[in-house]
Amino acid sequence: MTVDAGVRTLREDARRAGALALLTACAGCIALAARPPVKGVAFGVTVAAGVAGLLAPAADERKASPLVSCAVTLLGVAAFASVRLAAAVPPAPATRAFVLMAVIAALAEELFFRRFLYGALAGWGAAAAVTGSAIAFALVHIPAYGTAVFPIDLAAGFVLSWQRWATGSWTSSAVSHAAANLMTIL
Amino acid sequence: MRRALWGLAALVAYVAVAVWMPGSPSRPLFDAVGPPQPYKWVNPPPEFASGNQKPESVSHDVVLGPSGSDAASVATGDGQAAIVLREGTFAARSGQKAVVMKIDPLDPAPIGPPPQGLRYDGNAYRFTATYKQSGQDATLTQEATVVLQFPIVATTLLRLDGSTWTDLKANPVSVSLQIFSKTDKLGVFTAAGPPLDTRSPAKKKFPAALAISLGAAVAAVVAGLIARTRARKHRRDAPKEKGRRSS
Repeated sequence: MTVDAGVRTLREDARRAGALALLTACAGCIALAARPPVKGVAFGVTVAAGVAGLLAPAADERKASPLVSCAVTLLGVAAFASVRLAAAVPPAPATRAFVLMAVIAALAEELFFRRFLYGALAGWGAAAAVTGSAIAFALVHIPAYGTAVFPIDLAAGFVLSWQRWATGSWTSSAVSHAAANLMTIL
Repeated sequence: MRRALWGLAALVAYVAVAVWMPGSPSRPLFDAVGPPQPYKWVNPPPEFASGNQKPESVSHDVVLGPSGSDAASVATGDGQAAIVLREGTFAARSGQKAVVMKIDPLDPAPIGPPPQGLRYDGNAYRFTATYKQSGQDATLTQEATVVLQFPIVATTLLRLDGSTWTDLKANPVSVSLQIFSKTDKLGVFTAAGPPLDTRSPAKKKFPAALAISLGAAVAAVVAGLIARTRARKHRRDAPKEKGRRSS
């Protein structure tokens, strides 16, 4: 193979990988946005988006030290906890099914938005990755919750995406997101 | 350092947005996909009569301090009705140590018909507040947030003012089957929605949304799988290609 042919093959590969990432991102966002409010279906679609996020290749990044990761995670959890405490909202019924679904849904969404989508956008820089994944996260929740919750989901999306940027891993965001979901039963 | 500063900005912005979010009882984020509990009716329609359980009431003492009442959230045990009270919602009164906040479920049908073009969706709830020691009515000095769960589909929250229903500017949350709104006075509240027999567009929309959601989910998983397989193949082939070029 000549050098030119090799370069062409690499470019073709990159184009195909980009198209697949775009397809995964669009299909995942549409699936999450169109989730019908039906017991089990919405959860199943969320899990499917998480599986897509887990399967799709993610860019390798330098991971932060465990100490930094812990600090970043704790900051996110503290922010969510402070809002939960300030809101004084009635707690949701604490059933085992609710706890399990709240944790799995958080993990699935973080796999999609912070592992896959953030990684796919990282090629355009951290600002694009943080902003893009946060906006997508807030947008897909509008059909279910209405436009009134867009500001808080966007702000929460920025916190979660910042955690991804600061730690180089989606696990910090996943822990914070799961904690935020679980706080609704406290 | 740059990342820490951006993080600080994100955290402060998040807390500020959540605290000042207009007209809503804030949650850390609107995301949890919890299974809805069966609705408990005072007077269930025939299709929901089987297995119906009695809805719950609540009576809760809201502590009064020198500057008024503490912040509190009072909810029925089944979570079908709640009120969120900010600090100072009830005025302080000499000799009074608490305000008794009560929420009781009612059948809305005997109250009267719903406004034109609407249908009651679930129970009505009476919200009352009285000073514990004197038994006198306590009134709101600032807006409180009323949250009701609904069983089918609600688009508005109604408050009974005299003998007529007032349509409050409400926010329905379809995923958790809840509707909430701010109110400047207590009384009887109920959720309402369009009559079910005129909901044909929504009924038609539902299977379409289901099909789109499931189809897109399958497409996302398949695309992710293909991308993964291609990336693995690429990684496997890369050393061979390198070896061929160097030889």
